[in-house]
Amino acid sequence: MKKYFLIVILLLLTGCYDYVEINDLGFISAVGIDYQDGFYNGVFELIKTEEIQDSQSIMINATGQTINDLFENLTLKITKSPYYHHLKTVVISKEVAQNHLKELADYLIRSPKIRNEFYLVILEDSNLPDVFQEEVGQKIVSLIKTSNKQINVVFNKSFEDILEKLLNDKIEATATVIGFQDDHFILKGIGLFKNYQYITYLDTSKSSLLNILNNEDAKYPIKLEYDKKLIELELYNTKVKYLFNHNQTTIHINAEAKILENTTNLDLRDHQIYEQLENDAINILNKDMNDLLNYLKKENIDVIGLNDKQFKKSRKNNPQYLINTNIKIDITIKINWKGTIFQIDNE
Amino acid sequence: MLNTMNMNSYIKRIKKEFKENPDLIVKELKINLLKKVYVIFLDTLCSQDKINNYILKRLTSIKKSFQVENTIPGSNIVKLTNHDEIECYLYNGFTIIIQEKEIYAIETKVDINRSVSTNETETSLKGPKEAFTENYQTNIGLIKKRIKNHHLKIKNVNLGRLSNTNIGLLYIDNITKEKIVNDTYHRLSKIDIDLINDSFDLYPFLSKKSIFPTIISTERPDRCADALSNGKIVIICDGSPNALIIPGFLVDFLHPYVDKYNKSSNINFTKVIRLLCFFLSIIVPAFYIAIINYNQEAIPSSLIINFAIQRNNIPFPAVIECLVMLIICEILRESDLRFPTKYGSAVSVLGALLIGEASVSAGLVTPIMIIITAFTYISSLLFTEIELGNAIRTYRFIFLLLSAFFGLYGLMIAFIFFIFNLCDTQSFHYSYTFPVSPFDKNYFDSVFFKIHNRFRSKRLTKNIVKEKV
Repeated sequence: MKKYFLIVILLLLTGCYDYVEINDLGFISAVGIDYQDGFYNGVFELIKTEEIQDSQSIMINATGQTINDLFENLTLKITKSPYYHHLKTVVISKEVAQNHLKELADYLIRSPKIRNEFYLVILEDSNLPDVFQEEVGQKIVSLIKTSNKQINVVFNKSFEDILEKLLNDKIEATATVIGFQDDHFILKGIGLFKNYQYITYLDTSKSSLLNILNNEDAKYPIKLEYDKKLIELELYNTKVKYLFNHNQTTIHINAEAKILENTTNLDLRDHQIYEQLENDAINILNKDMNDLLNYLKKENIDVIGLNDKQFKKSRKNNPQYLINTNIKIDITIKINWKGTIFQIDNE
Repeated sequence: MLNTMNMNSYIKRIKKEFKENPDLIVKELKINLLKKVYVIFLDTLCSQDKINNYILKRLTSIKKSFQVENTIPGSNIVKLTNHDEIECYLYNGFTIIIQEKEIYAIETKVDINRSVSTNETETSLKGPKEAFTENYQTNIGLIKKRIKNHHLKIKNVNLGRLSNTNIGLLYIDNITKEKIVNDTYHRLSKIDIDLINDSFDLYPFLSKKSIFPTIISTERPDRCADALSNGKIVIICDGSPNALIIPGFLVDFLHPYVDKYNKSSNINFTKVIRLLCFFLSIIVPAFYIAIINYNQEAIPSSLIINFAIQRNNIPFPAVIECLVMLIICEILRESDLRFPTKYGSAVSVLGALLIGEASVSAGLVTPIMIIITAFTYISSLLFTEIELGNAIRTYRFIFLLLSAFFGLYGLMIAFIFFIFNLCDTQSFHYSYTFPVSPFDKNYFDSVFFKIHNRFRSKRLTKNIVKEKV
């Protein structure tokens, strides 16, 4: 009897400590944060859970001197307890990305009510209130998740991945940059950070190259011109290896390629043609890679993590490694998806 | 004692003992001037035809002294040596003949048993259809029909102060381990109760206190024969159409015996589904309550929004809603079990109304809760063994209660408790989780899955070779 009494007491005294009914929760799907005149301005997308719905979500604006103020002030405006575990996207303005990312990251790490599995995106060339319309969170997530198939660039990185790089002093972080045109979100490219400061973003073509250098599953289109006519190849299944030797860094890129489009009069039944195509593709990729690496060297933005990679081998931290190292690129391309080889007269 | 008493004193004593038994017939037959015979029987238990044709006709035609064994035809004639035995034989449908100082009991039992019918609780499309009846001899016969071997032994015990029920303990002496036989016999012989109506009355004396059933109760003679051939013990109780099989493990209750009559490649998938449903029928309501009230982050966003929309106008907390639904289902199940089959449709219609669209429209429960409850009950209905169903129900409520208080953490505590309890349960010196723990390949292959093997379980039997290798 005493045993059962103790069990009942245990249940009654310790149970239900974080009990909450699901209909008392206000599900926040997206948060937009801007900074103006010493105040953070936020827009929160709250998913509607009432049965009769004319729209899926409502937008609530809040202001605060600190980011915590901003989140606290939101609670004054909604009747339900804000719930951030299903937060999909945090959209930050260029101003926040340039000057206040450290504060934001600090708050997000400390806050137990927010999981770090949302997407952090930077909004370029638009105002937050204009962008925050119906189902922002879901739209941005869909855009990012399908990006790999649509534009050959991998943006599929959660805040957790960004945070990992932000907290590592040997590698710089990257984040997705989006824009807003004609009532639609567009993916602009990968944004580069240097010491918690947003510098600029790479266009989709350069972003794809960056993905390749980071061993992510990206594709890269290469256009070759013969007699003012084009043949387009696509690199896929790329594998990159880094070799460090004193001051020399060698990047081995091994890629497979497929022919996407052919408007030239090249005889694709001839095996020697493929050698020529592969060599020309290597030259173009080599040039594009060098352009990107030279830019990163010039700005000293080590988003590839060369310092981090060499540190793992040499155990010597060298913040200037990217600037000082001599980078050599060794590329191998094999066309193994030839497509149609029928001779088509393109006169 | 018998010799010192005369006939009149027997009759006086019998009449005194059966004073208020109007069905006791005492006939006095005069053989000649000097001799008379008494024929005594219980009208309700004896066949009038048998008594008339084989006893009364013979006795009335005799005019001189005679010997009962030579005069009365009958395969079962017993000479009694003790007056106290008379009562026992009378109640077993014997006719007592008292001639001078000798007492004979002649079997004239009326057949008040039903014939062998088809089984109802363990039905199958294939395999034998016979089921045990209430007659002890018939039941033994049904088993002996299947095991025609002198190694099949029967130990008899008479139990019950009032009922004096005949209990038979069956085993195959060159397969079954003596330890189980002796232990069971010892436990049976220690039973001292008034009445044994059914084999279920032996339950509390044979198994230890546990939530899970440890004794298999079956009405299939083929199942009993199979159990005997696998080194188990079968207990047949007079007056009961259910035989008990000892020892019983969890897998025996999960999978019906009729799986044996299905193709192995197909039935193994069903066995996996059953195992899954065993856990699901315990866990599902608790898991739903845990994630809906504590761990909302564990559900995909689109689903949780749906749940939140559904729960908007419900006045009760989800736990109460769940408890109400589960209790309603329990009431429905109970009424369905107890009600005569002819009224069954009324219960179904009322049940459908109660847990169907009407309760959703009334704003009492959410549609998802109906899905959860229905799924839980459908899963638990896979198990025809009612004792296992009750054990599942007990754990379902324990899981639900702990989840309601502690969320997924509570669910984990309940699960650990469940596993501990399962492993702690003993069935006649064997672990209840046998053949998984301790692992026994031969028993596992034949019961857990249907895989052909040529051996019996080494742990259960002393002769493991089942087939010619």
